[in-house]
Amino acid sequence: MADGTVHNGIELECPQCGAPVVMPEYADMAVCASCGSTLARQRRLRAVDDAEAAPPAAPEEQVLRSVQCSQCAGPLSAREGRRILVCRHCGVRVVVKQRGGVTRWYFPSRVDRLDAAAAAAGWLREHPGIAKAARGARLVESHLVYAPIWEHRTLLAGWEFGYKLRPQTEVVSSPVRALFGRSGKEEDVRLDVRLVKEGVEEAHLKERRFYQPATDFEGLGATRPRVTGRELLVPLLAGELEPSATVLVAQGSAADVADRGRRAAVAPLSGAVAPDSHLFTFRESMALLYYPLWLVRFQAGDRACRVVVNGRDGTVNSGVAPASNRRRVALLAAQAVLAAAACAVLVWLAATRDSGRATMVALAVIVFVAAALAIWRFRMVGEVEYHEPFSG
Amino acid sequence: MYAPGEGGLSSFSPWTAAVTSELAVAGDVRYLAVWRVTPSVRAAVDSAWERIRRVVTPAEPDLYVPAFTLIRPVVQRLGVRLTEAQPSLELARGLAREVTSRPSLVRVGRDGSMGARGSGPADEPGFGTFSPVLAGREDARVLAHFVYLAVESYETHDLRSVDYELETTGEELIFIPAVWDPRQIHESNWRLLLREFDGLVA
Repeated sequence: MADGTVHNGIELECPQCGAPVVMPEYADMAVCASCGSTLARQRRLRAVDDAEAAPPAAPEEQVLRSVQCSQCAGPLSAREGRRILVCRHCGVRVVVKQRGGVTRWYFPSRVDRLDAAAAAAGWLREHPGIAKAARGARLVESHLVYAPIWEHRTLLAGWEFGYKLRPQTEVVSSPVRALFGRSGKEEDVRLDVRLVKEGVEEAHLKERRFYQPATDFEGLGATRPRVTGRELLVPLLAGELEPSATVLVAQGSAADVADRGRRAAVAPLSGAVAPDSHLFTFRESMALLYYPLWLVRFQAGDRACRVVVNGRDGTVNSGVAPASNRRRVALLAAQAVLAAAACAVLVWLAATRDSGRATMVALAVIVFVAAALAIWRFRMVGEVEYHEPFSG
Repeated sequence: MYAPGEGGLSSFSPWTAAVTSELAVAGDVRYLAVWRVTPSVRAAVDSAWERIRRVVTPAEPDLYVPAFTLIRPVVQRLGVRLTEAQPSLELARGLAREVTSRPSLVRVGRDGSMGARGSGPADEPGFGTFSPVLAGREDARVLAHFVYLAVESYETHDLRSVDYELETTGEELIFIPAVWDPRQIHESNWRLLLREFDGLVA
């Protein structure tokens, strides 16, 4: 993992009491452990002593400011995700603007280090095709990583009009049957299948969600976990995550993801042919969801095994381990022997029987070609790779 | 009431519509939040909108967007009903602090049975006299398109396409009196206490 992809906290000073406050890059707000003030990040121009020497673009520095009521300067208790704050002193309402229009949430990790290591070891023991030496590999390290995923949510409203083509089956009687009623033969009746146009008038008023990885999951050796949008999420605040966990920096821009999400949302849904769709998005929101993944490494002799364990439910997300080719070779050998036997029987039948010789020979050729292809395509593999189904 | 805007929270005063129904009211009177959107529409001459316009001439018709819910059938049905009816509302500024309750008869059960007060259906709305406002002003501008198309779809059989242009020029939040009545299936179980809807009572 490159260092540049990891959030590093910076130490700032509480404007209320002067105590040091560590503010991670991912967080918008922190609470001073010394005086309890709610503090927000603020960028300001750095003061330069020599005004004439000041460059056109003065460098910025980060400072903390106390979150206060705009009317009475009383402290406000702000929390990520809360849009409207009410001052407890004077009752004035304050709207909180999101930083960059993005809120940050995380999936609480329900799996600890030992459980993650146990799940990974279980996968190594039980997954088919893994080399015997790797079954009892030695645990080297397990590390919790929070991987960001972009989420674009929007409400979709509108209508789609048009038509669909669908097959319609119809019982058709012959003219003879039509004339003479039930006296006609059964052959006089036939089924006609034809395509008919069916009108489409579909109303939509629903939520649409779009997810996109905000980090290189492949680089982590993982696949993007499946997110349904109904999972428990907790606001990502400074100091709430495990200190040893790594929070990865989100890649990509919210505007690009929002654009893709919007386009995905307004794509016609009805399946109509050339639909006249009037779909509109509203109440759009962008969020970064940080997903907990345990990266577990094992060592089996000079070979390394990597297993990624889902920090939410303890299942194995992905895994790579040295492969055992013995079973595959045995299977291939058995297939080859069977194919050879089948070929021999077919050739014998072709030689001894008078009828169907050409068919027997053709079958023998087909079996031979299939077996040759299987052998030709066989490769000794170095690693067994596993990825959780339905993720991506 | 407050709404978030560009420059922070801004306050505005909604309207409350008076009960104009001439029929007796069964059950508690609730006030449903609805946006009355003033649109500027360019539509085909034979469209449903033009028909409504001809009916209310010389006034201009409004679009009604239910704001107390985002459940599609409710927004669709009530939006269509109110827009088609173009009710004459007797409006008062602000929320009525003391709502004059009209004589209550009996509570109508979900299956149409009538029982004593307090034995109402379990799935009736979980809010008090005034409904919450779930759709804001910006949302109403988008939902106005939804309601407009719902009206066109409701009135035209086998509609394959709609050619229109709609721009909103103003929105007002109105609380419309209604009672929960499961018999009013075409109004998503709401009986609107407006004279325009008196003829629809079973």
